[in-house]
Amino acid sequence: MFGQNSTGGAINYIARKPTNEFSAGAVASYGTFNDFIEDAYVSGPIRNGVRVRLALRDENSGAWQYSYTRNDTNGRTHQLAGRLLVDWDASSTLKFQLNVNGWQDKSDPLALQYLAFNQQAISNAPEVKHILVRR
Amino acid sequence: MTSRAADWSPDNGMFIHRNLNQTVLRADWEFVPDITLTSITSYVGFNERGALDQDGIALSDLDLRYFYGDIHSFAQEVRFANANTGRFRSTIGANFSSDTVFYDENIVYANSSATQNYGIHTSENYSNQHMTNIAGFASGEYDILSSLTAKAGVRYTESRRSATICNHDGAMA
Repeated sequence: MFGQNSTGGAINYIARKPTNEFSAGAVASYGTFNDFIEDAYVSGPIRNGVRVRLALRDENSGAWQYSYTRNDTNGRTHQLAGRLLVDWDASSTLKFQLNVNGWQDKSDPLALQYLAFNQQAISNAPEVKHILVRR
Repeated sequence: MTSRAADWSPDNGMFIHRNLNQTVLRADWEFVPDITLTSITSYVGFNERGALDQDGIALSDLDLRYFYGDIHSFAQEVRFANANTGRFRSTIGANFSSDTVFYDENIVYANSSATQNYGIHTSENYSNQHMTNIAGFASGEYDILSSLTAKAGVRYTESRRSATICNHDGAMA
């Protein structure tokens, strides 16, 4: 465990470095709940001493949760992530590494499932006993 | 009930928009033979907003009508290290970081006993935190024999924290 502001320790995540030779690749997958994942990268030298790698990832899925009292769904995934790495060997004694990355997540939050009525909660909803449960 | 069955208030938006961006620049400069100066500069920005039902029922017992927050995190490290070819290897450096973290959430519970007994149906809380860390460190190792190495390291960190945290009446729904 290390890092001043890390709550549960830290994960040392090392991204693949830009390569000396051109390379590119893509992976696509499809799964349950219309879960599409696309992953692609391109890597290589763009001029003498400068190597770059660009990677993109996209995931979109349909809803997997449903309401047990009405006709409604939840749990869609909409995620997009990208990373640009630039390695520049300015001279034999001076080297730069730049990493610009970002992601956005516009997924549905996880919906909860009612388990039991807690009489001793600080505040609770007495009408919960009358909810009709659709199975 | 299957694990896919869940419930949430129909008037809760149930959405999350989160994004993070990060820029890191590292420079290594061997300014005299066998001694390298390394600089690592990093900035991370994060923000989120959303709405979330927290009670697992269609009634409003404990729902986040909205929440939003952001994080700005800056760090700079500078260190010197000698090449690891000789018997003695060492690193000396300093680190500075500054972080601000803000979060606000509005909680509604119109169908709960708190509303029925006390007439309170919403509340809100926020926190605004600042963290600054300044550190200096040094470490060295020496090969006494080919199979015996002595290592020592020292680090001093000064951390400053401040926070404004408030739990208050919620805006009228």
